[in-house]
Amino acid sequence: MSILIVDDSEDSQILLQTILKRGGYINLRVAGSAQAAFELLRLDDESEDSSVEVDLILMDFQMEGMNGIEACRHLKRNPRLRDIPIIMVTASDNEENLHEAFAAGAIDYIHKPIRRVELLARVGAELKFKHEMDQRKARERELLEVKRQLEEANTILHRLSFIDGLTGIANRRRFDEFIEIEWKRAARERIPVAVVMMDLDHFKRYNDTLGHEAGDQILRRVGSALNAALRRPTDLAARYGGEEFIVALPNADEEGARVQAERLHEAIADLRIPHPDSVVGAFLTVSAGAASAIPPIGDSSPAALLAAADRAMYEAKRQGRNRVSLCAVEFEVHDSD
Amino acid sequence: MAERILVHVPADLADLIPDYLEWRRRDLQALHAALANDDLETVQKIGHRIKGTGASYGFPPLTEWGRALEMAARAGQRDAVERSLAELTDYLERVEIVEDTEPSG
Repeated sequence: MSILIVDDSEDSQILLQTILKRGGYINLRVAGSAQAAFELLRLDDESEDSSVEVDLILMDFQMEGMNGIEACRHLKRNPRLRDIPIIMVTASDNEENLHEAFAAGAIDYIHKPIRRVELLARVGAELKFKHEMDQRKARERELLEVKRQLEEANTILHRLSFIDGLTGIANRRRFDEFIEIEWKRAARERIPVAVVMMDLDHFKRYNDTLGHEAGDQILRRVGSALNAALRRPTDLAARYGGEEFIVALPNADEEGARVQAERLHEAIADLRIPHPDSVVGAFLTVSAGAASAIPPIGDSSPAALLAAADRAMYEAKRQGRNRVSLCAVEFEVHDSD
Repeated sequence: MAERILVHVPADLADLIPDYLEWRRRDLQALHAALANDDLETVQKIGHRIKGTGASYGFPPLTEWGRALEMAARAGQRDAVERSLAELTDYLERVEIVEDTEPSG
């Protein structure tokens, strides 16, 4: 801990230095005037990183040139120096002067004649306080850094929580959130929103025949293919369940949904993934169900839209798989009476 | 011979005192010189300095005469300055230090 003595009297400097040194404070600096102190502390140096190695200032009240109060004010105006505690050393009994000293930012004062025990006790107390403040500031900086790291981790986690671990495309959680938002937007703007639900045909047989490892590989390829087959940046493809995929198509009417469903169906066929045990054909295929609706006036959810797409998909399965089917959306009618 | 004035000084500061008193005796010369030149401003400054340190070094009377010199000089009272200077000179001629074994309070 370093102490700066600012006093224009050499006798006072010697006395303060002697008492402090013998009290165990060996790191002492002395300035014979306010101006000399400013130079030592590089008051005019604006750069943030110029370090201050002074932990406490003992400031004489009455000095030739700038007095202690004015010097105190100058130091407290400097962001880099304002946290250095200043103890005023004064021979004055004038209450007004003490009031002025505290108003200028002094943390304490020592009365002349200087008494050894009092000087050491006050210096010790202020240095302890300063040390604790420094430690607290360091902890605050650490906490801020930890907070920043946590926020970064959270962002990554948030993103991960929306991604299907196997295929790398959106997961069901992400889809559910997405369709909810798009449904509300469609309701506001009176525009349609469509979904296409897809299920790989006889995927269980594929898995059973070639193993889960190969099955997972297929799911990844299908996910990528669906993602790549999207036409608009606002569309979203997600893995909905085991071998079920779903695509949201904001602002697509029934015809648009049918066209996009055909395109997705074709994208899977184009992969030409050999399926040794499909009753449908030699390659992997999907059954797709599409539905589109303009949300009704009033409170509603996309549940009816998803139910319709689901019905359409089962209809495609029922009709022999490897095809696209459409189904109208039926909203539950709430009787207002 | 004039009576000695014994002043007890704390052991932990005792080594500073001879120098301190020596400097005050030099102050006396400076004060006499200033007075001879009618330079009351210098008297005021030296008085202020003695006032600020006397008691801290263990000599409360020095602080008192320092204060008296400073005030008289500021007020332009030559007579009062001379009186205080004479008393201060007498004090510094007679003062002797006794070292306490206990540190100061």
